[in-house]
Amino acid sequence: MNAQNFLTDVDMELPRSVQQTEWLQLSNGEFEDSNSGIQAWRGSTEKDLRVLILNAGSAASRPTEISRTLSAMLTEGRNADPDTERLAEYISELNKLIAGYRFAQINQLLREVELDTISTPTMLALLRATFPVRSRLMDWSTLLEHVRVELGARGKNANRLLIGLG
Amino acid sequence: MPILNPGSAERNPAHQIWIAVGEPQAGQRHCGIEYRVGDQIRFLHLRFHYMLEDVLADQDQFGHVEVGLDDDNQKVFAGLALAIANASPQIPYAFDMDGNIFEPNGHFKVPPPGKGLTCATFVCAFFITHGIELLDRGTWPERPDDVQWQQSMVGILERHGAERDHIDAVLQNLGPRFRPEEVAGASSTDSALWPVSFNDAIILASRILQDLGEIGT
Repeated sequence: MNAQNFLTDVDMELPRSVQQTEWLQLSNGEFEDSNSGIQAWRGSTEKDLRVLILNAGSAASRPTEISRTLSAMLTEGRNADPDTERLAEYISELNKLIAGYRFAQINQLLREVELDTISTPTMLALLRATFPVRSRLMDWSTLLEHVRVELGARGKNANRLLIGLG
Repeated sequence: MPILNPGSAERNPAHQIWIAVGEPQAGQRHCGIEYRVGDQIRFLHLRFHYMLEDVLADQDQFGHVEVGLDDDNQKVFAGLALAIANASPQIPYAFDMDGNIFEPNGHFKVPPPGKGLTCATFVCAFFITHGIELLDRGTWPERPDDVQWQQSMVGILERHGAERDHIDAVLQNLGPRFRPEEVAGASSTDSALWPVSFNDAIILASRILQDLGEIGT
């Protein structure tokens, strides 16, 4: 079983109410994937899900604002050498956006990131931290291909560095 | 050349992440993720039912295996480990890992009763969540001595006060066991060889057990 199937299997086990289509219509187009009830595994009702998705939709439609940490990430420089704590800060900031269902904002970040201004570990962290929600990020696959090209330009073994990502 | 290094062995400064294995109790092997944060080596591991711990690496009780990832991914996975440690997810103990997943925000998606992770599948789930299959899990057989071990762990779950519905469901979902030394052995191979099959993993596992005996953890 590959990583993608692992995630799919999780969604297959959601309660039937989670898999109904009605709540998808309440997401303002942000959540077209039927697995968007990721936090509603057990004991949830359809009503709970409506609230969850409505909140998610309003969070996603907020004006774009990038935290200081992510701004620093985008301008760290290609030769930066972020340590574990710095990478964890970047990942945690991305996680906050994910937890708030702010996929539009994350997608904008993925679309606009200038790869020649960030380090190789940060590129990889960006892809791996967002890997579980890649189906909700329209530009994730495009970023993956851009990273592949950039790693090649840096003389890196892209296939090795991008193991498991596609 | 050993696969498992003693806990006190000097570490390659370019490396950021290791899989630790030891036998903290007689007959009970355990594993987890060691990662570098500044001057510290931390140990992130699922100790038992809802007991994820992030502590300083225990050099006396655990040896460590070099993970076969490139240096850049080692840094990233160390960062991901710290992010999970900071999120401190609540993870039930069970043998059936299918359907378990870390949420992207570092928390653990609450699974149905009977689902959960062991110390070894915690390590697998950590990698799977971020795109890497360490083991070719479909090649793992169900072994008679594994069932015996799993039933003994269910007894510990009962004494630990785990929920009755969880224990009942765990007994219905025993399945193949991924042993700590198998996960650690697989992680020691070059990532180009991942996912590692059962037949390859048990050869590496036997070497780890031999190393454990020599280290005396």
